[in-house]
Amino acid sequence: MKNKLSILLLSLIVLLGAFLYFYKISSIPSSVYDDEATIGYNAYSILTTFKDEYGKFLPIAFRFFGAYTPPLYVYLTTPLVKLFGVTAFSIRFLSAISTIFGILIVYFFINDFKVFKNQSTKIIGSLLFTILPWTVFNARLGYEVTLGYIVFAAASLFLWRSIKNQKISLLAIFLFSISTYIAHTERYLVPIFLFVFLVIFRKSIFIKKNKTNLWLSLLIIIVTQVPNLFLVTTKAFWVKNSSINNHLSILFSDLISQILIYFSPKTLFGVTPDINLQHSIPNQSFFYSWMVIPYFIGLYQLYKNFKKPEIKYLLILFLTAPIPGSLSGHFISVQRVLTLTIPMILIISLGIDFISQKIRSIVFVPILTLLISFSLILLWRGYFIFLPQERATWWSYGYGQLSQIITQNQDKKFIIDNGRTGSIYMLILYYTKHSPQSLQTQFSPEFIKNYYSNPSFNPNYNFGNIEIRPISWEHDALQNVIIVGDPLAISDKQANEHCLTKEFEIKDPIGKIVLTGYQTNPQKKISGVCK
Amino acid sequence: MSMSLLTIFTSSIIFGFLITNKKKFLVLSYGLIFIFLIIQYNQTTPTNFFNLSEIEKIGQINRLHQYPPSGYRLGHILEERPESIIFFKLEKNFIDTLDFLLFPNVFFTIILLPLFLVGVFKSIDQYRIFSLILLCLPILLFTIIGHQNSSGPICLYPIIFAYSLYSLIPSKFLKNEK
Repeated sequence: MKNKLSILLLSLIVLLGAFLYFYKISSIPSSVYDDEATIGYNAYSILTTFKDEYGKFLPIAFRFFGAYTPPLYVYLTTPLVKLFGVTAFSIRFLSAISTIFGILIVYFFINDFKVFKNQSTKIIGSLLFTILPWTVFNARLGYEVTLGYIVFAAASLFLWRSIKNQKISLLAIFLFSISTYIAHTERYLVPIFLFVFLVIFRKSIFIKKNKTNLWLSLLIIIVTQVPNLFLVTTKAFWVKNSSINNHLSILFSDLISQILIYFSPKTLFGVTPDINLQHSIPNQSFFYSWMVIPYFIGLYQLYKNFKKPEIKYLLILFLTAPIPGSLSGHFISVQRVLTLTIPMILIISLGIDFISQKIRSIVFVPILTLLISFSLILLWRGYFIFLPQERATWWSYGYGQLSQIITQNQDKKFIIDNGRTGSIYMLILYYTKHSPQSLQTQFSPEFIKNYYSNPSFNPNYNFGNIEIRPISWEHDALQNVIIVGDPLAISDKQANEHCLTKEFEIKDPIGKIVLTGYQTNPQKKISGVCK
Repeated sequence: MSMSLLTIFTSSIIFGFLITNKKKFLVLSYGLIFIFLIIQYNQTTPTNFFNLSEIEKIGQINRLHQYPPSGYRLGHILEERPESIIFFKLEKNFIDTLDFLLFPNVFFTIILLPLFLVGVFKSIDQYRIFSLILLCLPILLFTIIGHQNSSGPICLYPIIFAYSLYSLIPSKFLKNEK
């Protein structure tokens, strides 16, 4: 009976998760971000030509903007593009569906860890994971980081189970290895995590009856890591760890200060310090602020039960999670520490488990219900109301509308300024669904030959009736073109100076101008009548 | 200089209370912490919970316009009601108090922070209830007045030093209150 109730409640939580992750997924966030567009366009390119945007046949790392992103997310998105077209839905679908599996992973982790005393904690923990701002935000993203951390979490769940049932270790190792082909974070985290795990649990792992499994695991790693072993010899593998090139003392100091920031309650429960506002929800951090109390109680439980194997395992997950993010060289990049989500929710669940044993249900249940209801209201407010409006420009709003204008005016030439954002070309390619075959002709065989050794990228493009580059006033004002730029690219003074006529304005949802298109008047410019 | 000496003296008294659990140390600890709280309060510009600044008012109006018609009532409650404004400001002050980067030096933090946490957990195990209340007093003060001051969280320093030192004392030498 209890099991049936658990299954029913878990099903309801999964339904809630499905609603939160899929509701208006195509329109919230309000437009497709550059990284999402590049996934979508490259999936489209693979679907139609078996080559990426540059013309590389089935790459083992996608060059994109010089990031050399692991390839699996693009390949898994390709059949979705076939089914749903080159749309925000097809790009974001994988993240949403994988996060639903994340709910089950949290449930089974709590179920398996004997330190949890209250049977309801697995339901509460799964529910809290489902409604976290960090979970919802990343579930609706159309790039690889979410799938990466979910597959890593699944692998770590199976690895934990393999301590008692060695056969599952092969599945765990396989999933760990696969996760390194999904996102950069896992490339660094998996070896660090596995190394620490083998050291701490060596007495359970390195035993005679486990010998065959250990050899098979090694074989799986070697076979599945062949593409990565090739990449290690190229520049493509090392693009996301600029800190490692620093002097040792600077590296250590940077590592420590970044780890402190990631673990700080202000970062986790207050306001995220990530300066890229595309990575966060307005007025929300990773977790709800009230969770700081069960978090500290959970830390106390870690201290009290330190010698228990579940706690040791949880500590390994918790302490290794921010290392890849700290090595990336970025100040703070919350998407590189997504693997912190699962251990954090387990620690918070430990705290809630402790509280539920000390407080009577008649008090605990209404308080928890009130907190969860309030959290859902804050989530609705921050994510579904404010984010699509306040953060629209951070999500590259406006290029969809611009692409429509370009498509409707094929007889006109457009010059789009990219002085501040080098990835604009991808948004235009994505929205106009420009032919990948045509784009690939722009890259020489030499370029393709050195595909993995060429991380610098040129953001200037010329295709169809579009040129994407910084504006050159000496030349552009003398051509018959439409010049497009943001308010910083083309001021009113410049428009008057070069005899430009405003053709269109694109505004964001709160009425701020994001892009303006101006028609040049070469005759007037040459005759010198401009003000 | 005088603040440094006072901090060292207060840390020693609190540490003395943690290891001996004697009443005289308890009374002295509370007295000294209250002095710190008064100094902290005098050096801080308190958070204004009842009046919004011009920037806050503009932000409030902009936010209200973002709500759909069906959500306007809830938007009014969340953005305009004094209770909501007070709640969100208290929440911010409370979370800011828990910032691990309150200390200016990273290495100082990385050494003291784990020791401090272990010291707090140990005092929970040793049922040092009054010492935990002592820890909550500065947190309560910062939650109410905020962090707008030039000297930093000086009232927290003696507590952090005392707990950090306390964490290094083996439990077998400490008397359990229970």
